[in-house]
Amino acid sequence: MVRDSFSAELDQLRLQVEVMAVRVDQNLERMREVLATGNGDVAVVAVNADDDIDAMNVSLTERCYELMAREAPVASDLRFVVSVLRVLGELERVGDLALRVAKLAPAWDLLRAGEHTYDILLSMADLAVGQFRTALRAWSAQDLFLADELARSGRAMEPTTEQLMRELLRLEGPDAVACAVRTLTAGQALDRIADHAAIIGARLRYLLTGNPDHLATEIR
Amino acid sequence: MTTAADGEDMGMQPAMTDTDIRKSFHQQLDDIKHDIVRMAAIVTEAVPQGTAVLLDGDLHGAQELIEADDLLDTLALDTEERCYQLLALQQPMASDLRSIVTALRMVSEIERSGDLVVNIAKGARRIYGTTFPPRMRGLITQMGEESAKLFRIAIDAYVEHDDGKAAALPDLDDRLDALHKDYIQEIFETHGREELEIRAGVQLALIGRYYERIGDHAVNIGERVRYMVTGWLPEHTGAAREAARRQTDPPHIEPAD
Repeated sequence: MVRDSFSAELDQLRLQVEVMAVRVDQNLERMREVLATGNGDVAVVAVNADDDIDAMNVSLTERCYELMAREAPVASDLRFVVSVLRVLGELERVGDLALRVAKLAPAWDLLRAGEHTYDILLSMADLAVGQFRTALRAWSAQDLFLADELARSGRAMEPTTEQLMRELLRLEGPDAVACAVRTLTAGQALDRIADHAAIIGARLRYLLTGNPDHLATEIR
Repeated sequence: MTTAADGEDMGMQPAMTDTDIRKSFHQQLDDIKHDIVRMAAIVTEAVPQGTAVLLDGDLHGAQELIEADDLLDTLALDTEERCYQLLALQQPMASDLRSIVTALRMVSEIERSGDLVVNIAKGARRIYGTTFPPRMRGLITQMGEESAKLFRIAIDAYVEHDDGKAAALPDLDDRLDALHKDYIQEIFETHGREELEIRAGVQLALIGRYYERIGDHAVNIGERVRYMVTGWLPEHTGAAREAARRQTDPPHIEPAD
């Protein structure tokens, strides 16, 4: 009976992580809007929403520690709690990275100054959001197939990032470096968002299979 | 919560040996701490090496740094697995539990910092042959020193269980952030004077971010140390900010670097 109630608590925890991931996803959408329109008001909304995400992180992290201390979970239950801690960290970082891009709103004109690089940035944003949504779906369904696909995708963004770097070097004019540095800031953040999504996949794969070999996928 | 691997242990293989089991819990925890400090020492030494490789255009040194990261990755994986074994087999409480959770999170911070030094070495290779103006050399040197210092202080705080030292890290990191801003400005100005090609400018901007992120990881380590020593959760920072903000004005978006 006690274990049943513990099991229900773990299930609740899984759902709460999903809610936090949905909030991060909403901020990713805001990030994409800022990138497409330069709308500073949307960036302000994103900043506020990120503090809500941080607050969720606090309460869920505390719950994990409390569950570990109170229930001393073993086997797959322990694996679940430590995996939640890891996933929370990844979600929080994705939120921070989305904010880093959204905060470029005042530099939007500079970002657009590089015609090709700006288009690549928009594609990278689509890719990053796509990878994150796969991670979100995988977590919701605790789906090993999706988790495996994500973890195997590894550096899916790499070709696009390399393309961005090549195009940056072709920029010309007095603002070339200023435009390149802003574009790099955004590009790097988007690349890392995709990377964190892959890490969530790798962690979920470890959670579902218990195979410690999968931990190595998280090491870059 | 059930998974495909239910009924097994944490999935960590091989199982602990008799000798391991006999070893006291605290001895095992000390071993983990020892390896964390060893990993951190590798990173702390690698940062100035990365700076030297960059400024001297030392291709051989860059290769050595890149290869040395494999050891760090192996140590990280091994330490993480031993943390899980301790959690599963010893079911620690209170401060011991906090120590293991701290160790788990520190491992990934240190491992990622090592990756950033590798990135600096790779960046140095990409701009091999670039001549740095004196002010830029100075700023790179200072960023290297500050980031290594932050890392050293973070690890000292961990070894000495010094939450005061850990709490000082965000303020110390402000100096690195200020240096980074000056550095980006210097890249703009040097390019404006046509003394820097865009290829080098882009790589140097990336390298500056790597130093800045090493500092951020040191701050994160400090936050974990505070949790270990006092139970204070770093995640409280965001919640406190939220509470404060709700009583004040909406946020102002600063222009990015």
